[in-house]
Amino acid sequence: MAYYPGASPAKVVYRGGSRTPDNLTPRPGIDIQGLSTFETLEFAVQPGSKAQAIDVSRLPAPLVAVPDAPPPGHVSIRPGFELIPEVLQVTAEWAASRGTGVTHPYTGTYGGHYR
Amino acid sequence: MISEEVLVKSIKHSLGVLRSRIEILVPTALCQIAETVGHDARQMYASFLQTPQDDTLDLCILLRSAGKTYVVSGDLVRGGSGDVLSEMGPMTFSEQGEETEPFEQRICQYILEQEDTLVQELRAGTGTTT
Repeated sequence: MAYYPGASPAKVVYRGGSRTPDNLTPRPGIDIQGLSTFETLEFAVQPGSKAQAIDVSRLPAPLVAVPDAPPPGHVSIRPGFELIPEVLQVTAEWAASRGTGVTHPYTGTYGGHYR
Repeated sequence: MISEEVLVKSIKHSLGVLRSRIEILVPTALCQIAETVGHDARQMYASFLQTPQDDTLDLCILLRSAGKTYVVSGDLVRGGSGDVLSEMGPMTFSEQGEETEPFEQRICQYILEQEDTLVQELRAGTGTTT
């Protein structure tokens, strides 16, 4: 099952850490299936840790949230459901923006307005 | 009297000083300083990476406003795991009844005090989480 933009009811996934662009961008060469998030806060972080909620019903196309456990409750956010070469390539391009100081459009769409 | 603009300018300056220190001590580290603006809050942050593959180390200062009252809080958090390495506040102050300087000093002191933790974490490598 995939959570597509505009899906109802609203579905929230969780990403450990702060709401900064680099933390909301996949790691190059590691997160090849997309940004790593979890279905519940408990899966995402230990008690007392910090996490960000992402409303996947508001993800703009082509971003989708795809449950892909293991680990339990894991959800990848990426620009397409199927892991076809084109989706992997675009995800890699998104990840390549990490640490550059340039906020990729995919990060900016759900990471808030940065300036 | 508190001035939001003065406070924001001071926070950004301190984040910049911290970045300069980190760049000297860990020359390979990557750092971005920026600001997120919402309708009732602004977040200023310095985001550090040892490499693009590592989890982030994010020092965030959140300034929330309600009329002429402001609440400031801050934290240093590892991305991915969400581990909180340090926290500040929250501190509440009003535009009308306080002097800016003591708040500036406390916030900027907190920012600069994160140097040792950041250097230690960056040198050790932040590792990666799922």
